Amino acid sequence: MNQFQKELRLTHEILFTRSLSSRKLGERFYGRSISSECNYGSYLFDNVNSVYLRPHVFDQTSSNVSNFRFFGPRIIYILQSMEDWRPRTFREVFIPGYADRRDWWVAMFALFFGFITVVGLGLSAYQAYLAQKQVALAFEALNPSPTHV
Amino acid sequence: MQSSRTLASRSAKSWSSMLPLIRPPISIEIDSRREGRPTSLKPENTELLFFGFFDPRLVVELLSQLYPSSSYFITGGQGDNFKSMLCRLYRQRYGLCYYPARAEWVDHISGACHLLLEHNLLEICRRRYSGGDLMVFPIGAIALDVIALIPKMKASMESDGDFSRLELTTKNYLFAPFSFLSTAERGHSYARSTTASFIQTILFTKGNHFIPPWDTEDKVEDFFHRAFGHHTQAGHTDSYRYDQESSRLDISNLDASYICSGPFRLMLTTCLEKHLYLDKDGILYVFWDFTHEIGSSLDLYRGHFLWDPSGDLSECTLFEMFLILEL
Repeated sequence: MNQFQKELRLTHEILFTRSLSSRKLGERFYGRSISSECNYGSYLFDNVNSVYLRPHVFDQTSSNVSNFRFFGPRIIYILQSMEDWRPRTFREVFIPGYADRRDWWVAMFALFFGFITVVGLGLSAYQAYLAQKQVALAFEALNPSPTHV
Repeated sequence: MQSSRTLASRSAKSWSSMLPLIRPPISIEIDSRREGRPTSLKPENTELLFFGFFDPRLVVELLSQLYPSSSYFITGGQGDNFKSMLCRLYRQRYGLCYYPARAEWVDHISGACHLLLEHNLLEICRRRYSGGDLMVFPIGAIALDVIALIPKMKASMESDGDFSRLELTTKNYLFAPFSFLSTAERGHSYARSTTASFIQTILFTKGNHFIPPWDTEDKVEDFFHRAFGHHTQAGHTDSYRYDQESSRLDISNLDASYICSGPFRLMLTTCLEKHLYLDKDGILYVFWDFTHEIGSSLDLYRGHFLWDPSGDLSECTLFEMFLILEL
């Protein structure tokens, strides 16, 4: 049971204490501040003013998935799913995956410039159309057609 | 209630969450449904998904021993009552007092909740405690078989220390007409592996305290392979593959902000068995029991003969208690 509880807490520590942004996210998740000091006494529900999580430090024990006897397979599955995730719909194309983020940024950059180019092309075409229309009007002004014979 | 104060439970959506490409990193709902169990944990045959337990009175008595730190109260004459009830049950076939657990029972019998949790924990720990998909774990029935078997195994080893005789004793007892295995064999295809896993767990953790030669895991493994015809522990190949996979993956990626920066989202769950479960919609469930020190509520299981096998042996667990009673 100790080992199970230890692993449970360790997974929370790995998730929520490794960076400032994760910590903030953790505080939003729990609806409580994350404290590195354990206050014995507070137990369930509204007595809890903070959640006790020690800042996670990587070492031989906690950084090796195979040391997670209970949650190891799930952690492996999550990490594999993160690696293997690929967009399947058009909407998902805009969601950055976990692997090859540089490629995603390059793709977004290309997409952005592609979009600008297409919009530019459209505007150019419209501009050309307006110009042609104006030229036609100018010709029409220079050579007025006789209205009365 | 605490849940009303967590972000996950806020019902009001922010304007940014309404935009198509901006999604909140944490789901606004709290998952507490056990029905929405991971598909991988669902049995192939849903008919097998039920719990067996004895007469509710016996459940309460049994659980009071299973969970010494919980507040079950038994009136005077506990030992005699319990013993006589067990003896009475031994004379009957288990089928007569064995019920499928129904939802309404779970509400009415607090003990059933413990059994459900135990079942779910077993599913999580399948790698260690089971020989495959573990669908049915009628713990009460099996516990009584095992409890009665242990003294026989002990006696068998004390007489000549021969493992082949021990195998015979085990087989003869577990497949005798009155045992759960023989009465439930047809309806419970996993009964055999479950019982084997159950006994194996006890022997792994407590075995060498009462059967001296039972001092290595290999011996237990061999015994169960011969007695039950299957390995109940992950083999070396599996562990090797497990190590290979784990060494390839970087655990530093398991960071909340990094996870939420991608397609996956976090959701608070109150179901322990769903902790770190990733569903097909990309929602990663994280268990929290609303305690200051996460997982403190599991202290209920301290001293539990199965879930706290490394506990202090001086505690009178169910297992030791029956050895004392010499049933």
